[in-house]
Amino acid sequence: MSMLDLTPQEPITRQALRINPLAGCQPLGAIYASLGIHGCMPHSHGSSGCSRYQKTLLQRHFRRSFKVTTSVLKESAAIFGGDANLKTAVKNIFDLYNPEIIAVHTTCLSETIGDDIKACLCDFPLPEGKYLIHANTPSYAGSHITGFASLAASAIQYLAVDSGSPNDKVCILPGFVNPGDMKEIKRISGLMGVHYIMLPDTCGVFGQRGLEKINEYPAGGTKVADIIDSGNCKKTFALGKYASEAAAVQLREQCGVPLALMDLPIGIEATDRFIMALKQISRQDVSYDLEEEREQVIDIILDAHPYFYHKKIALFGDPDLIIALAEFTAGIGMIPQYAVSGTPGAYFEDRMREIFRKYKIDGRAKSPADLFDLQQWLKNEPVDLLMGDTHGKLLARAEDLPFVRIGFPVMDRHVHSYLPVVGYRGAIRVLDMILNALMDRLDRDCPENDLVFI
Amino acid sequence: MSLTERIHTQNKFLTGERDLSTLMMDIPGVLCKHGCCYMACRGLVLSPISGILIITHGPAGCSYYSWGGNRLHHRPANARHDYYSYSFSTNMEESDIIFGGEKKLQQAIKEAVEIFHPPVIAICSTCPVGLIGDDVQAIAEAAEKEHGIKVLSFSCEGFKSIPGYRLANLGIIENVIGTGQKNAGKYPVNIIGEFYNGRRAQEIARIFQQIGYDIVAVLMGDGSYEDLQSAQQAKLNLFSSDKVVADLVDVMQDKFGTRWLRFNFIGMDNIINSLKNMAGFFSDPELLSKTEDLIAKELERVKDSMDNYKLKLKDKVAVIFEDEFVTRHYKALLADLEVSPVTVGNELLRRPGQNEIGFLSAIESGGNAPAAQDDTRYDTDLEHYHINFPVSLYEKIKTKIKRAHDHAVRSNPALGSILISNLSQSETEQLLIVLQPDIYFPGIKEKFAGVGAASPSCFFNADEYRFDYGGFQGAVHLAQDLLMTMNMAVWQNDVAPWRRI
Repeated sequence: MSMLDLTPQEPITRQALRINPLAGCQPLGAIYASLGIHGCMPHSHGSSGCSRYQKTLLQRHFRRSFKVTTSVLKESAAIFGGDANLKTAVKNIFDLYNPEIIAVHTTCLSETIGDDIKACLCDFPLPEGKYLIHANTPSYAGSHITGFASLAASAIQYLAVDSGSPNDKVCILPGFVNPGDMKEIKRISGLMGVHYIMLPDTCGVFGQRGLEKINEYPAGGTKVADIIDSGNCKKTFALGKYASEAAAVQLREQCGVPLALMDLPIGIEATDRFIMALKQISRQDVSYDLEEEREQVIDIILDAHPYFYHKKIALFGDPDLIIALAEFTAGIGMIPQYAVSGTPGAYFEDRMREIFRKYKIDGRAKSPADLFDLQQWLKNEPVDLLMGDTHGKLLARAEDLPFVRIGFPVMDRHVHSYLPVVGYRGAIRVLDMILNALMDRLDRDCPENDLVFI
Repeated sequence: MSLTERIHTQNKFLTGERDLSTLMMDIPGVLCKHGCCYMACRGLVLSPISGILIITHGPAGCSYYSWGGNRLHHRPANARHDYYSYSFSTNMEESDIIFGGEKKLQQAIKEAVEIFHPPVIAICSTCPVGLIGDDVQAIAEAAEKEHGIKVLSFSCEGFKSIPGYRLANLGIIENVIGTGQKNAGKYPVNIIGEFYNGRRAQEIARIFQQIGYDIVAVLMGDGSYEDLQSAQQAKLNLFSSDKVVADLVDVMQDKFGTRWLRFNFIGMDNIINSLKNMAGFFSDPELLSKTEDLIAKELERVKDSMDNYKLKLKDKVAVIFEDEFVTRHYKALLADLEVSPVTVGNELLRRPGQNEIGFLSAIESGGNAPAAQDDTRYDTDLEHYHINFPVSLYEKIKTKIKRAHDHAVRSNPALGSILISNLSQSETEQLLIVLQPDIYFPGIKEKFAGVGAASPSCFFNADEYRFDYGGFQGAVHLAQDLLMTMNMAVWQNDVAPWRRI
């Protein structure tokens, strides 16, 4: 017997038991979004363990340290409410760590207690030039993606102002992606001559050594002034419905900024759509760099297609990423056979069905699902490749599948957070990972006399 | 805000708020690395016990974070009861918070039994459960009858002040230990202490086997449920922990009459003393001579590599940031390698309240604390530091230290050290720059990573790296890691050529 060997093959319907979950809770995403604001201290209004768990996970993914504070709610808070703790915490944070802004997020504990953050802090005397925002992120609803979306939306809600003087910029909401992806999105926008405000922006937040001084913050992150100015943008590009729609809608309702809801620009078609949208804004020709990169993607696909054509993939992870990956892989002749996500929401299955229909794939999609579901499916009809976050490594071993680590969290590998999966360069990287996984397996399993150097 | 003001504000809310808690650092808004009751109950105690199916009663988040973090080697006798690669929860949603989660828990237990046929289920409650008032204990009892298996319930909601390991261990002592009658052998011992890493348990087992001890059960290490059922058969509890309070072993002594000894498996002196104490406890001459033989043999085995590493580490300067947990381990291991470390620590604030055990180590190593009184507790003063130098090192650098400030420089002949106290952060940093450490241990609190970045620094955490630093090989493993870190070619290149002075 080895790991995950107790999963039976015959399908089981479960009503209550969640086995091997696919998603964290809302505060996790809220912390990640908060870190994408410059000079921001994420504050967890919950028990001390919440922030510790989420911080540990983020640290393992990015392999860098950062600060998160907590209200340390105890029994007394459960009885009398957490207001006193929150007020003390906010005061202590400004006194000790001098952040420009505090982003408070709630937890299942404070939400069940029923703490009203806004009422609690409405008469709190903020120090001069400092800001405080909050998002309701109960852990018993949604997932870390929902929490990320909520915090981004609340940053807009608290800060964005339409001051009547347009800034000739677009607001780009990059979704729950790595700093490497955000950097690539910014590079593409720059190449297309589009001026932008990106929210949140975690570039330069995790990449630096030696910034642990008590009241210093990393150079990266969206500046508060830019979030305020986002109300003057001429358009919002919301990349990924689950992670970015809430903030984009908030900005439209609040400041009248029209929004374009798009997929994460992963793969050829989604990147094409993103670049066409940028082109409409700047009315510039597509730069030679981007044309060259696109050509390279096409060349690689043509060269390598015998290795991936009609190979079946099981995809699991965050919905925006999985939708984009499914479209990309289906579009190059692979078969995204299974797609599961831990984040609730009907859009995922609808969108996956659309992709299945377009590419005539008899696939299965489920959300919210867990890895136990996926393993049962795999036991009944296996695939050629598994793609998803670190938690899939058990599944890859148990079902003996080649495995590509992509998405969040990837805790057992290095480097990944620096490199993009978005844009044409990201497409090249995804292809590289897929082909290496498949071809390593081929080299492992083929007869010895087939093991040649070409 | 001045220091006095800060102490004043802290004390003000502390007196009202802190009636239940006895732990330090849990000040709202002040960075802390504390976990919670659930985290310790599940992660420290229950996860390392193989053969138990743990259901987290609450939203899926907590089960997601606590899944798959422990490297465990122990497998249950029946492989069909091996659940370590799985994570189970009741995945409470908004409607469960409103209408209660009892039905969902019952259903989850039923499904777990139908799919996995576990001999024992443990239910760990998370924050919302305690607030909405699910009667988990009653559900556990009913499920026990209905399914004919053991169902343990732990009310380890994250907001609880009682440490989770204590709650879990008391539950195990109450409900598990004493339910089995496994044959225990001639010198039966239990090991109680957290390792996070099955390798140390393996190393302990290897040494004990050679001397002739029988390990009956392991709690908070890497053990199994079947073994724990018979833990009362042991004659001696070996207690090895930096955090866990000794009342746990007292409870076992009261209930089963099992005596206990402190046991430390990090650093040669600690290991040798522990093994000798054990032999002394059983007062058997044969055991004693076997212990002596084993110590001699093990020391001989590592002698060559130790000598080699001592030579390589000669005159290296190591700086350790003090914290409650790992500082003492590093100090013991560095002593084995004959490297005397410079330790940096926060000063202590004195205030009313109850003191607690983990913090005594900071006082022990810092030396600047007034004598402990029963009604006084100490907290870290985040703005002031002290530095403890070995005398020889201090003599070497003392001319380079700017004496503009008027700080107490005290020598402690017994420890062969010099203590400079009440330094500000920038003064401390300047001192560290003068020191030019070869290696820097940021400690759990990760202070001074800024200074650390100027010198090779590493946060060694045995459970995430290749080796465990426990056992006779521990110092060798640490030396290997130290040299690896110090000698990495990247230290020649970490500053860009245009930024080099």
